[in-house]
This record gives sequence, structure tokens and C-alpha cells, in this order.
Amino acid sequence: MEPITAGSGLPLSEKTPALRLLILAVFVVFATRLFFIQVIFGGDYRMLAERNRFQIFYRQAPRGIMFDRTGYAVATNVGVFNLYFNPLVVVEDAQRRDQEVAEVLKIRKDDLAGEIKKSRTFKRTRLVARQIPPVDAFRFLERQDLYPEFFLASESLRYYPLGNAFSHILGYLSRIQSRGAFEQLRGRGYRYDSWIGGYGLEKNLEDYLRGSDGAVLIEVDARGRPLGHANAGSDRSGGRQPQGLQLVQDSYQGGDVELTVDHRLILAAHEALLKSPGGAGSVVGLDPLTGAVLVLDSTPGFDPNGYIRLDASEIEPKRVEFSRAVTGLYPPASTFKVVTAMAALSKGLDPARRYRCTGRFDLLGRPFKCWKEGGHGLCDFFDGIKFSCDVYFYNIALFTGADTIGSWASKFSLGRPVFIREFPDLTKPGFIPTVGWREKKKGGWYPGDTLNLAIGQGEALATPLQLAVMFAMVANHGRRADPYLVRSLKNPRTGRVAWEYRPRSLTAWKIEDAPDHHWNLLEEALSKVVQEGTGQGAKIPGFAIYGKTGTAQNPRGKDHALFGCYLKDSRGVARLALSVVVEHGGQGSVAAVPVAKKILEEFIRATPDLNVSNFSFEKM
Amino acid sequence: MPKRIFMPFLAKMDHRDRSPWAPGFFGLDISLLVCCFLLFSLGTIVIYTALHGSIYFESLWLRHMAALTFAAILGLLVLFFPTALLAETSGALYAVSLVLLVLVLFFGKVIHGSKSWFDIGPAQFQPSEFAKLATILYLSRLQVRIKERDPWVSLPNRLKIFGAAAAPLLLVLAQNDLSSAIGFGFILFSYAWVMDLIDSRTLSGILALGLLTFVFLLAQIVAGLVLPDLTRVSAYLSRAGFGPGASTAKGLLWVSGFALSGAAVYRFLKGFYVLGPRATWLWALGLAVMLSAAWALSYGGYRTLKGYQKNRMVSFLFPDADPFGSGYNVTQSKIAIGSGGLVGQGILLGSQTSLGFLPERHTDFAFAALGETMGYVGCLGALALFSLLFWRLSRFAELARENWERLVAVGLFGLWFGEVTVNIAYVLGMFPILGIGLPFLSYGGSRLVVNGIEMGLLLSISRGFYVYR
Repeated sequence: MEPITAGSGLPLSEKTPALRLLILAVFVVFATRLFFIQVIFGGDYRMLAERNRFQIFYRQAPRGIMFDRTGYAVATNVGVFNLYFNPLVVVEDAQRRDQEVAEVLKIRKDDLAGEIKKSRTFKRTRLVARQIPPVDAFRFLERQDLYPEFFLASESLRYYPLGNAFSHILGYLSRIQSRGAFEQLRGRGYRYDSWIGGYGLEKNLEDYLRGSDGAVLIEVDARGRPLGHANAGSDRSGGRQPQGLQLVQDSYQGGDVELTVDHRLILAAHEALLKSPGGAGSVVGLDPLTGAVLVLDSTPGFDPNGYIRLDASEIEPKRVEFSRAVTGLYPPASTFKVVTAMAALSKGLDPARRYRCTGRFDLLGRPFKCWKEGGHGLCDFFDGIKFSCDVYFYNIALFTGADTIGSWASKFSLGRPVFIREFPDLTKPGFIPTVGWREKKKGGWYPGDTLNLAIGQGEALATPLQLAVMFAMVANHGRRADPYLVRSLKNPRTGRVAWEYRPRSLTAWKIEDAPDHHWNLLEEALSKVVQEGTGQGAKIPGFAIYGKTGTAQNPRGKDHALFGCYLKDSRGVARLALSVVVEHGGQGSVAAVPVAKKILEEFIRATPDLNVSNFSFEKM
Repeated sequence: MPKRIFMPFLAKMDHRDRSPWAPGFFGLDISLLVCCFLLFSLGTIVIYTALHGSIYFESLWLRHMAALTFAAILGLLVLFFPTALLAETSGALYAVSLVLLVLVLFFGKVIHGSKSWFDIGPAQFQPSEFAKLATILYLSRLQVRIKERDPWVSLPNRLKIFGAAAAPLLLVLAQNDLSSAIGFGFILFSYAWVMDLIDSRTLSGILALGLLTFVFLLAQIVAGLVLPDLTRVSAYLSRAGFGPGASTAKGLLWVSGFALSGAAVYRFLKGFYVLGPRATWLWALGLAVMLSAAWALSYGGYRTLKGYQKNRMVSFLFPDADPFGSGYNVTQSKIAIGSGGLVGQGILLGSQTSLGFLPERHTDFAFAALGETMGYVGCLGALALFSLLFWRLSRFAELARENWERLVAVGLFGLWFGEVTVNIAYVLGMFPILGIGLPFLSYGGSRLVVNGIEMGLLLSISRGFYVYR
């Protein structure tokens, strides 16, 4: 029965059937779409929802420890506590609880609240407070059961006990710096908050040192109550697991590394350089027989612990990553006279022939000065090296010729890249001007250039590492050993040596065309430098020390002081080859030689078998 | 008339006035009564489920309960007063709501970027919700008056009607409240169609313009996104529904979108046929004007839309492109609904809702919370409930005694049908997220109170259905 309705002028009855059709259409469309989403693909979506309830929380593995040759841990780990917040745990009166936790842990409420807000927004378990002191951490652990949404996890942080002194060897660790860098690294198992080696051995041995990270599964039920078992698994970092955390993957510490350096020598070098007139410079010390780097120091260094602390300053790689010892370039100055001397001997120089030094040397009307104003008088080969007489070397250089000197520089690997095995990227070839280069670039080689080259001035440049290698080669009578820093790698779990460096045979790189008596002549002269000449400051009675000083003229300030030397034990075996550079130190004999002496003394103290006649078991 | 005003309830209880077969519960429409009861109950359950576990549970739940009480009180008040009273005061109500909309621009509180709330002590009051009802009441009354004097509704009168609807629309736009503005748009559109205020050619022209503008806008946004990074074009295309792994639903959506806009353009152009069969230049001109107008509008839109609004459009087209950024809401919403399965996870047991992965779970995405906890059965139930409500409203447009009451039903139909359709569409990932709440189910005190009043009014209207005159 149709109800009686008021007659109307409105055309509504014509329109309402269309409305009903519209209702039906919308119902059918939505019901179909819902059927697809809920009934047909419901299982897939259920799985995605389940995945939301689980969160994986990673803990970075402790890095491998680095020991020096004496077994001193120069890069080690310390444990700290971090506070994490799980936003999925449903609790009542959350804000009051957050404040209570902040009070217990003595952290700022605002900071904690801010981090918790981020965690809630992104729905991810988040690190909300770093590096909590153990006292506060244990006070929290007593109350852990009251706060299921928070948990503490220990993290092992890198610590460098010697700080500055080892900074250029060990480098530093940093968080991943940019999004682009992270995108490249994530495939290798890094996360956005992973530590990664930024420089030095930490960078170059990164894959070996980092170990493999552990993972903890965090699970809550649909009502937001933590699931899982307390004390699940056996995490190496120890400690009791709060409810809801399940260890799914142990973390494994990275491999240990044994270095060739001796921390006592490095500390001595570092201190001596700091006290030297320039306050900056470098020391490179090699074992001439094996190439093991015994001392490597570049002052000033930086504080590698500073990047790890909470108030970490921004890393400035450009400022920090400059190791003078390996990449600093200095004119070799008078230390280059070793090369000139060998070149002259190979051309048949008579060591007894004497040249007169009047303090100046005129070549084609142009005066070349000796460093000593009055001159040295008559000098033979030994006097020339002993007093570092420039005029003597001008004479023998003209006798020898620039080409021969250049080829001998090359034999001593000057002007060629020399690097420490672990730092293949940190190398500079330096530069030795040659006749061909000069004719191409600057319009011709003049005899005066030969004189400049003979005394290592002008355009010649070398790194301190190259100088050390040069003196090691003199000590070995021309045989070169490649410098290396890592003696062995150890498996931290078994303690066994996993890999050990085997030095190459010394004959692999050898200067062939110099007879032994040339080397003996040079050695005698270098010995006289230390015993009677410019290197007297490094004389230690009872020990055979050979050296050559250098004073590099520096157009931008005070001269750089250089000293290269080596030490032989009582059996005539070379044990240590050193190069010392003191930036803006002035004369080599004044600034660089005392630094070398400090290191030599420390080396003698640290090495009981140097002098067999003095050897006794008490001294060990 | 006097009898209805002064003795409303008693008059309708009198059996002499009523048909012996008159259905109803004390003269009230049973279907609507059931709808009213079930919708408010379902809304309360959904809001409890969604709020549970939230750190704001206590205060929000308290507010919801208070709003529900207010809604019941005001609804009953309206039910026991004659509808004519509201008709007589609709002008005043409309004026008051306009004043409130202006005042909120100066004294309002900004929540989620729109300045549309009055902060009154413990609660907030959103005048735009109230204004929607007042506008429906006033427009109904106005149109009936105009229709009586001017059956064909001359242009000045049409402009008067449009102006009355446009005033609150512009005011809420000034508050930066896009979703309320769209609500007013629904109201206006339903009246324009039902009352033949716009002939079908103009309507199809507007529809075509709107669709083309939307398509051009999307194209511009996608171009602005993709062109600077040409290497990702293929990735975007495959996600948009052209490549492998694209969903059939999205493909259908594209096809139907193009078909609809094509049909609308065709209908618009066909209107020129009356000018002469050979006036092809008019076709071409019309098409050119249409395309350039749509392009100009979409360019203006592209310039004025804010970044997050563009992101929403993009995440509608490519929800997988940035699942943790702009696509997060719709991704999690679909996960929530889908994980409900056939019968749901159970109330308070839906992990997406309880653990808070579902964003805006008590407001915009309340339907997703419903889907997760009650499953396909619950969703179909809610859809059926809404359909019943809309069907009753369409019947009200035929059965109500007074013309203005019929128009009130039409206005509410347009408002609610539009809101429900758009809301569920974007919750299901079928439409860009517009931030329009779901009537009865979404949390919102002002909306709930106004919904109560509206239900009271409709029930009151239903009392007149079967009364003889």
C-alpha cells in the first residue's frame, strides 16, 4: 500500500531510483574490493602485519684488538650501556614512566622524550640514550621488570689507550657519514648507525677487524605485551635479557692484529718531536732486514677517541688525514749526498782525492756557496761527508754528471712510489728532477742544476718513508726490504695465528752495480758523521751508528731539519734504520739529531741482544 | 499546521490519523532507528578498539563518551520538537554558523594545519560540522520557498542558492580545511542535480572539466617527480599499472577513469549538436576551450597544492614507491584491512590497530581498524548498514510530508554518501587520501553531536510519513 504523501512540485521521485542504483554500485564495488583484499589476499596481508610485530635489533660486534710487537693493546674495546625503547610495548601512563626512567638513569628528560617520540612515530625500536655509566645502568637493571618497554644493551666501543701517538697508524672510527655512503655499504651488512673505519689501519683492515654483528629479535603480541624468554641464548656481551628479547644470532668479535711497531719507541718519538724546536715532524724507523716498521710517528696527530665520545666533534678528514711520515714531501737536502757519493764512486771517484773548499764555488761566473762561510779547507771523501761540505759535492757532481746521479736516486727508490704494505693508498712518489724533464718543461738543464741536485736542494722532494728506506738500503748494501706494519692476524676465538707476513727475499730489489767496497767506504764516512761530524749528537758509546744530517732550505719559513741513520749490532747486523724530519726545526744537527738519539736510546734499552759482549740475562 | 506545531507527538500517536498498516516503532521509521542504534554502537566499538593502547586513551575515550551523551540528549530534544521549528529557525542557524565560521578564522586553534577549532576548556568545537547541518536546513527551506514562487527557478534565484552554499564552502577553505569544503561541495552537488539547478549538459561539462583537471594535475605532479630523474621512469610506470607486477584493480581504475572522462567530454560536446549538425568547428572550439581550461586549472592547482598534498597524490598512484614515507598510511591501512581476513582478528586483538601501525586509526582510518578486528563480515555489515541508511534517505526524499523535509533528506544523503564513499575508497587505496572522516565511525566530538541531531531530525521527519492529511 502506498502511503499518502503530500503532493509536491519537486521532481524528487524521478531522481531517487538513480540514487538507489548509485548505492548498489558503490556497495558492489567496495564489497568486491574488500573481498579481494581480505579474503583472497588476506593471508599475504596477515603475514605483512605479523612482520610488523617483529623487530630485529642488531648489536655491533666488538672489533678486533690491535697489539704492538710487545703485546701491548694499542686499540682495544670498552663496554658501555645503551638504552633502547620499544614503542610496540603498550603501557599505561607512558609519559610519567618516561620521566621516571630519565631520573633513574640521570639523563635529561627532554632528550629522552624527544627520542621516544621519534621511536613512536617510526614504530621502530630505537636507541634513546647512549653510553650510560655502569652505576646508573645497574640501578636501572634492578627496576627492569617495571619498565618492559625499555631495555639496556651493552655495546663495545673502540678505545685507543695511547691516543694521539698512534693516531696516524690506527686511524679513527666514525659513523657512516652520508646517505650515499650508506647506500653503498648496506649490501655489505652495514646499518645506518654502524661504526666504520675512516682512516688508517681501521679503514684498511676494516673487513678483518669488524667481525660479524649479532641480532636480537624483539617480539610483542597483538596487545603489545613483550613475548619471548628471559635469558634466551648466550650472548657474548653477557647480562640478563629483559622479557621480549630473543637472541637469534651471536655476534662475533673481529680478528686480532699484531703490529710490527713498538709502542715505547713511538711514545719516545712522539715526545721528542713535540719537544723539538719545530714541534711538528715525523719519524720513520724500519728493520732494514725485514722491512718491519718499528717506529712510525707523525706529529701533530689527532685524538681518535674524540670521534667516539658522546660529544664527538665533526670529523675533518682534510685536516686530520695527513700523515707526514708517509705522504709529507720535503727536500732531502744533505741526506741526498749519500746518493751523490755512491754515484760518484760508481764513476770511479778516488776517495782520497781532495778538493779545496773556500766557502764558495764559482761555476761559469755564478757563485755557489758552501753552508759554512769560511769553508772547510781541503776535503777528501770522508771529510766531505763528515762535514757535509757542499763544495766537495759540487766538485764530484760535475765529475759524475746529472744523469748518473738521477739514475742512482732512482735506484734508492727516490722519485718512485714507496709505501707501507698496509697503506697502498698513502703514497707519494716524491720528485727528482732529470735532464729530460727539465728540457721538456723549463727549457734546459744548466750545470748549476747539477750542483743543486747533488746537495738535494732545488726541486728534489722525498717522503720521510723514502729516506728511511734509503738508509735501510745503505745498511743492507743496496738490498731493499718492503715496509710493512702488520706482522700477523689472529683468530680471536682460538688465539691461533691465522696469517703471518713473510718478508720477501732481500735480493728481490738490489742495487747490482755497486761493489761491496763502495758501500764500505760510504759506511765508514757515515760512521764518521756520527762519531766526529755533524751527527755527533746521536753518538752513543759502544754502539755502531751511521747517519747523515740534512737542512732543507724552506722558502716559506724556517728550514726543515733532517737526519737519517741506522744502527748495527755487535755482529754487524743492521737493526734499525731511521729517518727524522723536524718541520721548521732549523739545522739538522741541532733539531733532528737529538730526536733520533732519544729513539736510538729507547731502542737500545728495549732490545737486549744488540750488544752481544754486553749481553746478560739480568738485563732482559 | 497549528496542530502539528503545538501537539506534535500526541497528534501522531492518534490512531485516527494513521493508516492501520502503518509500520514503525511509536511512529518512528524502524529501519532508520536500527541504523541509528547500530551505527552509533559500531562507531563506539571501533573507536574503543582504535584508541586502546594509545597513550591518549583516557582523555579521548572520555571525550567520546561525553560527545555521545550530548548527541543522545540533543537528538532526543530534536526528536520531541516539531520539525517545523527547525525550518522556521534555519535562517538564524545558518547566520549563526556563518558568524562562527568567520570567528574561527580569528580565534580558532590550529590542529593538523587547519584553523577550524574553537578551544573551549577541556574540549574543542568544530563549527564547520555544525555549519554543514545548518546549510542543509537553510538550503532546503530556501529552495522550497523559491520553488513555490518561481517553479522554473530563474537565474538570479539559482545564483542565490549557489551563493548560500558557496559562502560556508569558501569560509572553510579559508580555514585550510579541504575535507569540510568537499563536504559542502557534496551538499551543493546533490541539490544541483536533484533540483535540476544545472542542466545535464553543463553538469557533464563541469564533470568533464573536473576529471580532465584531475588527470592533468596528476600528470603534472608525476612529471615534476619523474622528469628530474629520468632513470626511474620505468620503475614508476610499472608501479602505476603499466608494467609487470601491476595490479588489475589499478589498471581497471585507469581504464574507468579515462572512459568516464571521455564520456563526460562527449556528452558535453554533443550539446552543441543543437546548433546544427555541421557545426564541427564548434566541436573543435569546445574541445579546445575545455582542454585549455582544464590545463589552466590544473596548473593553478599544481602551483597552490602543498607538498604533502602532492605526495598523497603520488602515493595514491605509486603506493610502493615510498612505503615508509608518503605511502605509509595507505600501505598500513591495506595491511590492516587485509589481515582481518574473513572474520577478523577479534576486537582488541588486531595488531595493526593495537600496536599503532595503522595511522589515524580512530579518525580517518577507522574503517581499516574495523576491517582488521571484524574482517570481511564486519566490513560488509558496516557497508550494508550504510547502504540501508542511504536507501532510507532516498525513501525519505519520497515519503516525507513537507518538501523541505525531503530536501533535508537529499542534502544529508549527498553529504553522507559522498563522505562514506570517499573515505572507504581511500582507506582501500582506491582514491588519494583526502582526510575526510567516516560519519558515525570516525572519532570526532563535534561531528558525533551533529550526527545525533541529524538522526533525531530524520526520525522526527519519519513520524510524518503515514499521517493522513
